[in-house]
Amino acid sequence: MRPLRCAEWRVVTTKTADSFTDLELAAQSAAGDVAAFERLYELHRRRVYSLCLRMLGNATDAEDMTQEVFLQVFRKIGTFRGEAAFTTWLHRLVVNQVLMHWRKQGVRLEETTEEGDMSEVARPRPLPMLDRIALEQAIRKLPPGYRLVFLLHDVEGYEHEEIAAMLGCSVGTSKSQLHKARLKLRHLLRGGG
Amino acid sequence: MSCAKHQDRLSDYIDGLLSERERLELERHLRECRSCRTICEDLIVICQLSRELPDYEPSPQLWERIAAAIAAETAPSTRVRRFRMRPAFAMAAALMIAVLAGALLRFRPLGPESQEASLPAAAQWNVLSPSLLEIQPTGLILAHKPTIDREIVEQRIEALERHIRQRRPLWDAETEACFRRSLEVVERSLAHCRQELERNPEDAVLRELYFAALKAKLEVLKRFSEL
Ligand SMILES: [Zn+2]
Repeated sequence: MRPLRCAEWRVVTTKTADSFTDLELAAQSAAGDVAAFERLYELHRRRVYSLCLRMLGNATDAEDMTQEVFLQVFRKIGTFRGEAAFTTWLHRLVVNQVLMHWRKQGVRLEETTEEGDMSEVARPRPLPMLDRIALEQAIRKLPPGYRLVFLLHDVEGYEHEEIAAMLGCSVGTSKSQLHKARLKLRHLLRGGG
Repeated sequence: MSCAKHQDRLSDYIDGLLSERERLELERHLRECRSCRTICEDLIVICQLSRELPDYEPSPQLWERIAAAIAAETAPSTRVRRFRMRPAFAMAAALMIAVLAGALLRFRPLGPESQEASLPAAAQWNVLSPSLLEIQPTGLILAHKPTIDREIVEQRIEALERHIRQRRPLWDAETEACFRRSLEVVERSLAHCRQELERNPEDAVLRELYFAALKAKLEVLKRFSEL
C-alpha cells in the first residue's frame, strides 16, 4: 500500500471505524491492529462462513474452515495491496482451503460424475415451486467441482475469468462446470437423484 | 442444430455471454421448441433464486476462537523478545554467584584449624549474605534446610536438563551460545565449590556457596527451558 500523504491521513483519522475501507482495515491489521482485523472479520464473516457451509455441508466443519481462512488472512494480510477487491482476495483463500480440504480427503475435481445426457427432447415438465430450502439441499447434492463453480458464480457473483484464476482452470472449464451444475440442480429439483 | 446443442448454450445465453448471432439463433429455436424453452425458464429461476440466497451467521464464539489462535500464533514473537533478555539475566546471576564464591574462597581463612578459630560459619554467612541477597536478581533465599533443599534442587536440575536436551536442537545459534556461556560460568563455580568441599566437607559456608551455585544453575536451566 502506498503511504498516505498528510492530508489523506487527516481524513482517514476522522473516519469512524465503520467507514474504513477494506484496504484501510487491511493496512491497519497488517500493522498489528487486532481491532481493525476484528472489524474485517465482522464485515466478511457471513460470506466466508456461508460459502464454507455450502461447500462442507455442516456447521462444525464450516466454522473450522472459516477460522482457518481468517487465520490465513491474518498471516497474509500484509501481502494484500488492493489490486483486487478484498472479497476476491478473501474468496481466493477460501477456495484454497476448500481445495486443500478435498485433497486431504482424496476428492479430485476431475472426478465429478458426468450425468449423462441431461438434455430433454421428451415432453417438458416444469419445475415445481422452488423454495430456498429445496435449492440449498440440491446444491449440497452437487458433485464438489460443480458445487464450487456454481457457488462462486451464481451465489457469490464471480465472473468465469475470476473463477478460472481461483481454481487454476480454463474459462471454458469454468463455463462448462457451471452449466452442468445448473442442469444437475434442475434435475435434482425435479425429483431426480 | 439439435436440441442438445442449443441446450449446451443455455447458460451462456442466460449470463449474456453469447455473440449477437448465437443469441438470435438460440432465441429462434426457443420460440419453436417448448422443451428447450422450459429448461431455459427453469435455469433462469434457479439462477435468480441462487442470487437471493441469504448468508448464514457463524456462532458468536467463532471470533473468540480466531482471536485466541492469533494470540497463540503471535505469542512466539513475544517469547523471542523475552528470551533475548533472559539468558543475559541468567548469566548475570550466575556470574554474581561465581564471583562471590571466588571472593569468599579467596578471602576466608583457609584450613579447618583456622576456620575453627575464626567466626562460626553462620556468623560469617550473616556478614556476607545481605549483599548476596541484594544482588540476587531472582531473589534466591539462601537461608534454608540445606540437605533437603539440595536434593530438591538437584532433582529439578535433572528434570530441566532432560527437558532442555529435547528443546535445544530448535534453538538459534545466539541462544545456544548464550546457554553455553551461562552454564560454563555456573559449572566452573560449582566445580570450584566441590573441590573446596572435598577438602573441607564440614564447612558450612562452602556448603552455602555450593547450594547457591546449584540454585544459580537451576535458574539458568529454568530460563532456557522456557524457550
Ligand atoms: Zn430444443
